[in-house]
This record gives sequence, C-alpha cells and structure tokens, in this order.
Amino acid sequence: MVTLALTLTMLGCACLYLASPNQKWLSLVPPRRPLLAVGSLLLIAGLASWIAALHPLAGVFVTLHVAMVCLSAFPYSAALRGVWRRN
Amino acid sequence: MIRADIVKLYKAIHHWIGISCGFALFIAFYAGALTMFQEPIARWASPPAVGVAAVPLDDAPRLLELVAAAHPEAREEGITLHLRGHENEPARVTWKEDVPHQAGQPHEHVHWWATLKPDGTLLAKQEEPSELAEFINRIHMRVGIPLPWGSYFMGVISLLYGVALIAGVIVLLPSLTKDFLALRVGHNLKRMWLDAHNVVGITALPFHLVIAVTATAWGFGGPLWSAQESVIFGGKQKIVMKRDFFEHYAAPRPTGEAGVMMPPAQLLLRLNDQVPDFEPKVMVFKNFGDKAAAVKFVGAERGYVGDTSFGGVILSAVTGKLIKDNIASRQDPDRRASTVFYALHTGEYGGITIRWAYFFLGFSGAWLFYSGNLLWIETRRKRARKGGEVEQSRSTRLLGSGTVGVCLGCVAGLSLTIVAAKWLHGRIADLNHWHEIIYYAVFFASIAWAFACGAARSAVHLLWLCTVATIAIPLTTLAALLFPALGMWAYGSAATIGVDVVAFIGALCFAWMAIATARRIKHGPADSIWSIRKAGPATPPHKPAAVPAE
Repeated sequence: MVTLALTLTMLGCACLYLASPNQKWLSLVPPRRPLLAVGSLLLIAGLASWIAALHPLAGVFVTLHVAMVCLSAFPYSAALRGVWRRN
Repeated sequence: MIRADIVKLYKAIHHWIGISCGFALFIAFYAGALTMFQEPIARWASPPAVGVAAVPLDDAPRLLELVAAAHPEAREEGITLHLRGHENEPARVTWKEDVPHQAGQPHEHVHWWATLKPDGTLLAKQEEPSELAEFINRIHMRVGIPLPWGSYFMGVISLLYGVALIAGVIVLLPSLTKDFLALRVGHNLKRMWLDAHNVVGITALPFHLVIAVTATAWGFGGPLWSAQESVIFGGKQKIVMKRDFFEHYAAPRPTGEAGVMMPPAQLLLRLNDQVPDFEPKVMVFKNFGDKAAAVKFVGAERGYVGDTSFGGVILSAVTGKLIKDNIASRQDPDRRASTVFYALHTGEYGGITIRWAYFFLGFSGAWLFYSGNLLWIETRRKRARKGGEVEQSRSTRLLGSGTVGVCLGCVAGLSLTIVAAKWLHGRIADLNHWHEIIYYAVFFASIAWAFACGAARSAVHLLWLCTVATIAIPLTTLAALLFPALGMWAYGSAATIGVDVVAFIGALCFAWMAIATARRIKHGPADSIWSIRKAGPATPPHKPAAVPAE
C-alpha cells in the first residue's frame, strides 16, 4: 500500500510539473488542462492510499511532504539534465 | 497588486534576516537532515560488545534475575530488555546508574550492559555508548552553543526565519504565478540563483513554516512555560503537569513485598492481546522482583503522527494486566495536539518515507540559506558593476568567505567526526569528547581557511575536504572489512550499509560541486568573488546576461 501511495503521489506531482508553463522536461508544451486534471486525480488517489496505509492525519502530512520533495526536485532534475546535455 | 515600496521593504527584511541568520540555519538544517537517520548513524558508529552472545528471549528471565540480584540499584532506575537486537544495543539487557552529584546539579549516569556467559553466569560490564548521534542532534538544535543560551539563540533565529519566510513570499507574490517551478539555467547567474532559491522556498514553504514555528516554540519553551506558570497559572501548572503527565505515566511505587515476575515472552503476548497495534522496541522493568513491579513498553503505535518516541504502555510485570498507557489513539486532545506539533518537527510518523522526505527537505533548507547568501553576493556584484567590472566590496568578500567557511566547515566537520567513531574507538579514553573536538577543530579551521584564502579558492579546497571527509565514511567500513587487524567493525544490516551508501553518494555530489566551482573560479566573471582572476580595465567584459535581471 505504501509503494502504491508513493507511486501515485509522485506521478501526480510529475503531471502537475508537466502542466506548468515553466516545465523543462519536454521540449514540446504538453496540454495543460488534462495534465492538471490527471495530476490532481493521482494526488487524491495518493492521499487516499496514504490514509489507508496510515491514519488520516499522518496520511495528509505524508502526502504533503512527498509532494513538496517532488515539486522541489523536479525543476532541479530538469536543470541538471540540461547542464549535462550542454556539457 | 502590491505597491513597489512595500515589496522593497519586505525584500530588505528578507535579505537582512537571511544574511544574519543564514549561517545558523544552514548548520541547523544540515545537521537536522542527518538526525533523520540518527538511529542508523548510532548503529554504524557503535562498536560490537566483545564476548557478547545473543541471549534468546526465553533465557531473558534468568538474565533479569541475575542483574536484579547483582545490581539492586538498577531495579529502581529500570532494567531495559532490548527486543530488536540492533548494533547500538550492546546486549539483550542494559541499564544506567546515577553518578553521585551535588544537589542542584544535573544527574549524570553510567551505562551498563549484561549478558549470560556460556556457563549461565552473569557477565556485566560498564561501558559508555557512542554519543555521536546525540552530538549531531545537539549541533542541529543549538549549533553547538551550550544550554540554555543555545536554545534561546536558536529560538530567536527560528523566529526571524519565520519572518524571513513571510517576507520572502510577499516579495515573490507579484511574479509567483509566472515563475512558479521555473529554474532557468543560463548566463544570467543572478536569475539562476534566484530561481534555485525560489523553487525550494516556495514548493517547500509549508515544511519551512512548520519548522520555523515549532523550532521557535522549542527554543523559548522553558522561558514561556515559566512565564505562563507565574503570570497565568499562579504556580498551578506544575501541579497539573505532574498529575496529568508525569504521574499519569509513572510506574507504580514498590510495595516491598516480593512478587513472581511473568516471563518477557508472556508479557509480550499480554501486550498484544490488550494493545494489538502497538509495536514495542524495548521493555523497561521497574522495581523488578517487587509485587508492584511494572514493565514499560516503549515503541510505536503505527500510523499515528508522533508514533515513535512518545508512545508507551505499562503492564504489571506480575500479572501482565494493563496499568497505564500513553499511546496516540488514547491521548486526550490537548496532549494529542502537542504530540502532533512536536512530531511535525521531528518527522516521527509515516515510517521511512517521511524520514527520507525530511532528509531531502532538510538538505533543501540548507541549500536555501546557502543559495540565499550567494544570491545576495551576486546582486551586490551587479549593483557595483554599473557597466564595467570592478573589485568587489569588502562586505561582499567577507560574506562570501563566511558562507563558504561556515557551511562547508560544518559539512566536513560532521563527516570527519562520524569517521572518527571507528578510527578512534579503543585508541583514546573519551571518544564522545573527541567527537566534539574534531568537529569544532575542522569547523573553525575551515572558517579561518576561507577568510585567509578568499571565497573562491577556499570553496574549491573545502569542497574537496568535504568530499574526502564524506567518502572516508564508506572507505572506513571497507577498511574494517579488508583489514580486521585495524580493530574496526563493519555491519551487514541495511541501516548501516545505508549510511555508507548515502555518504558515498554525498561525496560524489561534493566532488561534482568542487569540479564545477574550480571551473568557475578560473573561467567565470573576473569581478565576482568566485573568481581568482583580477578584475580591472584589462579584463574582457563578461558575456552579457541572456535574461535581464530584476
């Protein structure tokens, strides 16, 4: 259950990042609204899974913290990939 | 739309708080990230107890009886029976004894462990456990300043940090939507540092706000409690606390009559029957052998916020009947609220996922302050330049040296003091004291080096020092495996191997940063403090920025 919850939360954050106009993972601009919708659904599913795996309060906090890590790390991963490609 | 003068005011607040508190916050966050793995570090650093064979749980009753008979003073303090067999638990049974002390002075303890010899007799030894993990935690909580001033200092720093966070958000509000998740790497270094700073600051804002509030409360907890006691409660708070918390969760007083103790294996079954979701780590026997003897199970009730070090269940050690508990699911609302508040700072919930999340967020916090200082320096450079390259001001150079010395000195000092746990064990008398000496020696030497050589050169030197110090952690384990004559140890548990793997990855990151910094100091803009070239009229102008600065 924890693995499922973690995967859903990370995928949800990846979709939200791709929906951002500032995303640097793809050179083409992906459709924003569908990605936002899918990302939100995945995050809600992730939250539900965390709550099922833990307790409601812990589930909410774990989802929030995993999302914070992902949303901090994704722009850096894209920037580092760009730097390596240039080098 | 926020008025420009308001944004300017908050920008000044954000900058000056960041500059004045950044060093302490870097240390607190970097060491705090390491404390997320306090137990694996303690396990990595703890030497194996010589001649100690694992005592099966079925033989524990005899071991406990022998300890209680040979060391009666341990009965009152509590005899701990370890259930997990971790490397930092030297034997199945441990206890501590009070050291004679003057009235009014803090209690000090000596630690004992005990096991059974092959012939069934008692082997007990007084041995101080490694305090490396606690030392890292002290650096995290008080940046090395002794109590109580360290707590007050960090309370002030945390309060200002909260103000800086709010000021930073207000500064960013006008461009928040446009720049959210943007990290533009290009020729405009100020833009790059600003984006790198903002991405972490905004995406992890809830974490930082929680840490700021809880750390402030922690820092001022003592004085606030005393003020409440005298101003609001008129001396009654202590009585209520004693009744509702200390006595509520204290073991019963001994009767003086002998009682037959239930074996630990049966007590565990009784615990499982009465509190099924509770996962105990240790059993602490109070007043062993007395009719009113109790066993306190310390552990976690899985799934709750604050599930690790706050929970506990007390059973009668004679009948196995539940006497008291302090588990999350049965705490009263105000106690529950304070536990949640505390656990949100320490990350004690959600298992390994939240530990890794806090670990990365802790590092990102350290990065936030490091990048904040670099950003300020870069901004100064742009202001001073005004079209041509100039020598940087003294304040900029000093801040650059301070940033490099304090931040990298803390990193190298912590890595080297971790390494010393294995190399110095058995070679010096008081290793726990040496952990402090090594850390502070490296920390202050790094600062001195940074001011002596300047930010650019010393950044490369100190990043290589961080690389060497950090890679020495897994290399020490490797040396222990390859050369047993060195007298060091290498464990095979996932937790201790994890310490080596994470240190190896960390060392690679420092090496990469050292190479990148070395490239920059040679080829970067000459009017930067991050350059070893002299700025002047002969210096060719640096490539213009691709993106205009603010």
